Amino acid sequence: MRSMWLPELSATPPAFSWHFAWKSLPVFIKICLLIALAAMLGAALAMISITVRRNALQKQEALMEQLARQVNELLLNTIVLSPTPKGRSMVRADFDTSGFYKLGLSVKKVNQVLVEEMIHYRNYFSGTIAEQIRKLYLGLSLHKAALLRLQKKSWESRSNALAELFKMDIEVPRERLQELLRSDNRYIREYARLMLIKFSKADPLAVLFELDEPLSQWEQLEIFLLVKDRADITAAALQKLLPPANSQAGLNMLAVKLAIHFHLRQALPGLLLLADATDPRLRTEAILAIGLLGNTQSQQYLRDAYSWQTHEGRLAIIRALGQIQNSRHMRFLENEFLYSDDFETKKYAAEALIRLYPLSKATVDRLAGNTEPENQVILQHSLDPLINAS
Amino acid sequence: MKHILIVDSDPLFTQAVSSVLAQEDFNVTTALNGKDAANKLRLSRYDLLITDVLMSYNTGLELLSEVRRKDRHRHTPVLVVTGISHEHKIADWFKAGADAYLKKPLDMPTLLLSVKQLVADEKYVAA
Repeated sequence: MRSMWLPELSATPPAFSWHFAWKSLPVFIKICLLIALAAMLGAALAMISITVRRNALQKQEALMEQLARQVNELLLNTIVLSPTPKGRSMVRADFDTSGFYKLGLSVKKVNQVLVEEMIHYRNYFSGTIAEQIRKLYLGLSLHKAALLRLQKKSWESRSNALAELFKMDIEVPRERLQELLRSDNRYIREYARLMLIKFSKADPLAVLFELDEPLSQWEQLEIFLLVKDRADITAAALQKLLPPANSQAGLNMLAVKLAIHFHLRQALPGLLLLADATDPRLRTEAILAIGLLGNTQSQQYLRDAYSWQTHEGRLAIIRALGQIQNSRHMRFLENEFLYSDDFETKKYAAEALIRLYPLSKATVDRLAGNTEPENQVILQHSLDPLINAS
Repeated sequence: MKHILIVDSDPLFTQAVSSVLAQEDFNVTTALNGKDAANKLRLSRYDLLITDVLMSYNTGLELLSEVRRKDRHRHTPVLVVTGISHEHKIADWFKAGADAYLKKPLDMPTLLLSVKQLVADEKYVAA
């Protein structure tokens, strides 16, 4: 029996109320909880968004890869493996282009992948294959889309279009290129210059005479590759790119490389001025060029300049003397190899002596047998191309 | 059937060249880097090695020296196909044992001619 003085227990415990619990919390706790909740929601949303985007990107990449494979297969079968009459390397223009149209050339991405693969092929193959790919590019009217993109406002679209036309050997009207030369964007100006050089009928370097901005190393190389097989590069044109007519290091460097390539001895006065250039790379290249192109007098000039040249200049003189196929400076090279305190000078002198083979064979054999161990190691390293390359 | 190993880091190049060589009745194997090529050279004998020089893991020059060190491949002709055209480098490849050199971008008929000459040359018949 229940005693009368004990409080009566309720049958069910009071119900928990979120509302009551929330209301009973202090304000600062409420704010903290709200911030934590917002942060968790934000993080969850960010993760979902990243996952969705990554998935979409992976799908797109897989599609692009598949498309690139398809395009590659088509190019391989249509161009590379297409039968040509035996014994003739003729360029065909009667391709079966239906496969390419089936890809959906109106889709921008498809167009882009196809052009990229075409350029890829042209980077690896010359001759008939390169020319057939160009014909196919024209046949599919892809050049029209690129020419249209040249009118766009975005500099990226215009420079990409220009690069595409350049790599596919498609000429752009000269007036349009002259306009693009005045563009605010460096890439567009560079490609416009390269285009003008590539398609110039005569005096390809003329566009560089009035150049008022530095010539990048990339552009120097591209220009060199464009003109190296032309027959209209004259000493007069090179002289306009060399001191005293021109003091721009990039143009000077290009002129030095071209003078060596075309063996233009008339460029020697400008090259001699560059032997004292402040730019160490330019100085080195000029000295090497003097060694290669120079007559006995200019070679003696190099030998005399050795005493007052910088360290880089001295090394360049040693290399230059190694390129002159006569034994006039062999004793000097031998002395530098034996008695210099500088390791690099010794190494360059050893390499120069070896480059003078067979004139220097007796000297190198003698040195290999009779010098100090360190010198012998330097000679061995210089003689072994595998060690040289590493 | 002559067996040729083509080594180049770009699958597009190896695929294109191997397809053309296969069309000319050569048995072609490809490798995408020097290490892969060295492994394949350990397993089989080849009548010609076509290699680039700029590759990952093992450069063409290292591969060339390895080929020349091994008795099995000492007489295997090697054709270097690369974009580099620096005279000193070319001289180095020949000193290291290369038999021929072609510059990229290359002309396919010239490549075919070089391949046929190299695999047919009697001096490469292994002792």
